[in-house]
Amino acid sequence: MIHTVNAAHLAITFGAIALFMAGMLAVLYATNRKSANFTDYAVGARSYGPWFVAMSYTNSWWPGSTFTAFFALSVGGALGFYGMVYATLGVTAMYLMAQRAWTWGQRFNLTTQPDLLGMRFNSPAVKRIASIIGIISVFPWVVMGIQALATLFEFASFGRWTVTTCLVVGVLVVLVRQYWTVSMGMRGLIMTDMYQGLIAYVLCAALCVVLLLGPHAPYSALASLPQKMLLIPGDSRTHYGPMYMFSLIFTGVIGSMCWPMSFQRIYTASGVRAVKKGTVLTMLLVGGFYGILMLFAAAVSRDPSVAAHPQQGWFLALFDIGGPWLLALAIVIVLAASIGHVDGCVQVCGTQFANDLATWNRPRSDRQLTVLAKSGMVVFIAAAALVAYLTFDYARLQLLAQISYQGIIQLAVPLFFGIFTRRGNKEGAVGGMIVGILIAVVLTVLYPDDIPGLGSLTSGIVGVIANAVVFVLLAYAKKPTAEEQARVDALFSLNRTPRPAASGQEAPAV
Amino acid sequence: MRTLLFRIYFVALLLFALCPPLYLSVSGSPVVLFGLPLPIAYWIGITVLAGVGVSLLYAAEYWQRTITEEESAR
Repeated sequence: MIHTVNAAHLAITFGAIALFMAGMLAVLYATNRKSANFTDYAVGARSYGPWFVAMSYTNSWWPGSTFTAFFALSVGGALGFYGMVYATLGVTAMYLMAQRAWTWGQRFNLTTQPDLLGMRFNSPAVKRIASIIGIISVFPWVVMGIQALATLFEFASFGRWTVTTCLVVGVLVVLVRQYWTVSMGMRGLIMTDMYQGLIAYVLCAALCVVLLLGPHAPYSALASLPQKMLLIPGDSRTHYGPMYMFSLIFTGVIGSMCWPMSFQRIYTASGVRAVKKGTVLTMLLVGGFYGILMLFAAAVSRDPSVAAHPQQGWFLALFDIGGPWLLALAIVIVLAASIGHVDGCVQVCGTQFANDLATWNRPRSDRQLTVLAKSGMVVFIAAAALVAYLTFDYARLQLLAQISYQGIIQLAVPLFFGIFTRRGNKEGAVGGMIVGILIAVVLTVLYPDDIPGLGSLTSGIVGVIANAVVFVLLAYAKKPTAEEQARVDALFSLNRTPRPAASGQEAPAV
Repeated sequence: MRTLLFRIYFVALLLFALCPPLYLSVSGSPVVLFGLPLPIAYWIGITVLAGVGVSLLYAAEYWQRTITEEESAR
């Protein structure tokens, strides 16, 4: 923690936060518009171009903990850089599934990822189980996001505020922000994602580049990092088995489209081309920003205060380099990333509650769905704020977050099989998800990090393997009826409507 | 042909990212590439190649007009 006796320092940090919040509210007021129907509220009427899709995805992907937990990984060694690999390879899946996912979404008015799974397997049960897994998995991340804001205020107050005060203020900031998320739905989210993303990722990357070119965190320092920092987990000189990095990267790659807020970005796009071009831009943003931040982290790793407290390294390094002004900028950058991520989580969970769960007994009108989504968001954020307050010093919360990651990837089996193949049925989808998540939860409790007896595989991967086996076995055990096969064939034939040919050429027949 | 080439390209990238003998072969290496130690350059290289691959795929699909024009009513 950084301490100061100079009151002007507090004015700088809190002034920067106030300025950032004022800018965010200005964006919200300037773009406020009443939603015409539930599709408008839930996915912004599928009207956004590639840059909005890319920035929104990035906000939903890199939370505030990128600047603490991931930063610390790169202060400690090369491990932190694996994040950019799984982030970019994972988002490639968005490109590959864009055609079917967007077209099906538009044709069948789908608004959530479980909605697509339910439609693909013609099963409300698949939709609801996927939705419940998604909401439960997202919850710990919102709690940790709120708690991360409390840490921010500890830095902004230079340790003068008590932990309780910081937590209460963090919760209040989130609650105030959520008023607009609830009221405006996806439109408000996407507009502020652009504003927050420019600060959290573009400004941050530019700042890190400038600092890497300067004397305090020189790029040249990277060439002489100590050898122990260059060991990759799984090397015989580390205490992990060879499959550890495989597990981390594979989980990230298949998990990227499993997170409901990431997948939902497909439905905010104005067309297939917007998703695909958005994916190209997303790769630039998620990979570029993260890589530059991690290079900066590695470059400052020999700063004694950063080495002593790597989780706080981002704040400590910037304070050491630029005093309270750069600390204020560091705080605003993390605040922008944290708020963007929490917003995305709250929005998608409210939408899934209304669209996937509250329609359990009977269909709902657009107005009812919108009211239910808003109510769901209010309950979700209130519950997260309460849990964040009650569990601030609860070390096991990190375990819940780990379980959530191992759990959410169980959606990968029905999602990838469902979009890329015509095989599979609802029994396999439901059975696989349930078996996979049970195995993942039990093994994560027993082996929170890795399973030494399996070469350091992680629990989620074991769950996914069992999940896929169940899915495939049931696909072969129960053949589809002729009617079901025809329905699936019709779904897969929806996707061929090429652009009009250039002059002199004929468009292929559809 | 285009699809096959890109499939091979992305499978190769996945192998470099996921195959333990490949990524562990650079562990602890003192070799410096573009000012970066090899274990860091390795991960950055895969990321850059993934970005280049998807960009080329988009460009190829765009110029061959295989991306559907379907747009939602705004």
